[in-house]
Amino acid sequence: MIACPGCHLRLGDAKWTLNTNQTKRNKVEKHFGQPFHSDLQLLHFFELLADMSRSGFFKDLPGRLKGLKIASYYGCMLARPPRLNKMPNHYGLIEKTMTALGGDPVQWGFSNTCCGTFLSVSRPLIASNLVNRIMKAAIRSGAECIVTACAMCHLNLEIRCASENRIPVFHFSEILSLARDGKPSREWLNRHLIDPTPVLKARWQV
Amino acid sequence: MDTIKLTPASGNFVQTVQEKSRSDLSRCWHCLCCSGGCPFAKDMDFLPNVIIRMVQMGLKEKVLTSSAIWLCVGCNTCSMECPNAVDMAAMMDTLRRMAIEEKVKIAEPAVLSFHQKVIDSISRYGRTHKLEIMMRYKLSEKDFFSDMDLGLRMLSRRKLDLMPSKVKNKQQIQALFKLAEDLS
Repeated sequence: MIACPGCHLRLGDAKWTLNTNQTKRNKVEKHFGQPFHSDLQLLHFFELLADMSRSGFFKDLPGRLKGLKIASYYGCMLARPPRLNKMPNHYGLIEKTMTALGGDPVQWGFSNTCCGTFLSVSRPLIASNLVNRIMKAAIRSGAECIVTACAMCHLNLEIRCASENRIPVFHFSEILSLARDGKPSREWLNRHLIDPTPVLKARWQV
Repeated sequence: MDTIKLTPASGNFVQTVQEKSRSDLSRCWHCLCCSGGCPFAKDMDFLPNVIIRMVQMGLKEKVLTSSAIWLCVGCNTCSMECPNAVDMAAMMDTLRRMAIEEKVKIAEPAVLSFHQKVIDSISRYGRTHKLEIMMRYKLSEKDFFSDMDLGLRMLSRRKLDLMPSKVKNKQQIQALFKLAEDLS
């Protein structure tokens, strides 16, 4: 099971390579001293969450999201190279999960626009242009916050955003813990560069 | 307008790129879907589909010294847009490798420098130590002041760790680096 979209893609690529290239497979098996299981399943954490929502697991959570308006942000999580086209698709998984947790996902146009990743360091202007477009679109959509599955996206959205386009960004693990027990961890919220307390105050005791 | 001279040798470049990237560039019909979808296209010197055409014409030096190949972050948005399943991101990756191997002038040295600092950190600790990466990067770029306030804010919010988190078995990490080299 994998929580990071980047890792999920890389491991999927590695699996594909090992299954299609016997020479490389031999080398890797020799290195690790054990055979590779070609039918190994790579499960993204969101696939599990979507399954759990379907079976009604989240119905009675004490926290619940109480109609929190959420802009689901995938970044490049939905994109993959043509050779991996047969991997399970993750479209809509964040929306489904957030709805099951009691949230209210909005429709918006920038859910799968790349955040700029490492260009945030070496070409910050390019990244900040992208990030500000994403943040503005989220605000326009009426969302109260953005939820992302990727730690890199989370960081870029927070650090490259102009002060007038600020909207709180949550990693999905934070939203899960909010829905589970409804007590935001102060220590964790303090790590945000965009203060999420105004959004949380309306619904939870912060 | 520049005149492009095509010689029999021009074809070698596209062949090499196709083999290394395992991507069939002849499937491209220049519909510009990739260039329209690419979030970085407007900052590139050549649009992504133009790079394909230049590769096909054997314009090796122009392609390898372009900024486009370094501004591509491999987000695969182009692959989502492409109606013909051309693996654009793999082609860009191949071109970056070739630019390094052939020691041409790198159009975006800061991008490459940052990649190297990240790889160095992983080889040293088995994980990335962001603070050290940033300090080494800033030193090599002789850029001491940009993002200073951001760095301090991140430190005070404990988004950056002062000390690196290390993998216990460093030999295994080194062995993985060797394996990766052997596989590529």
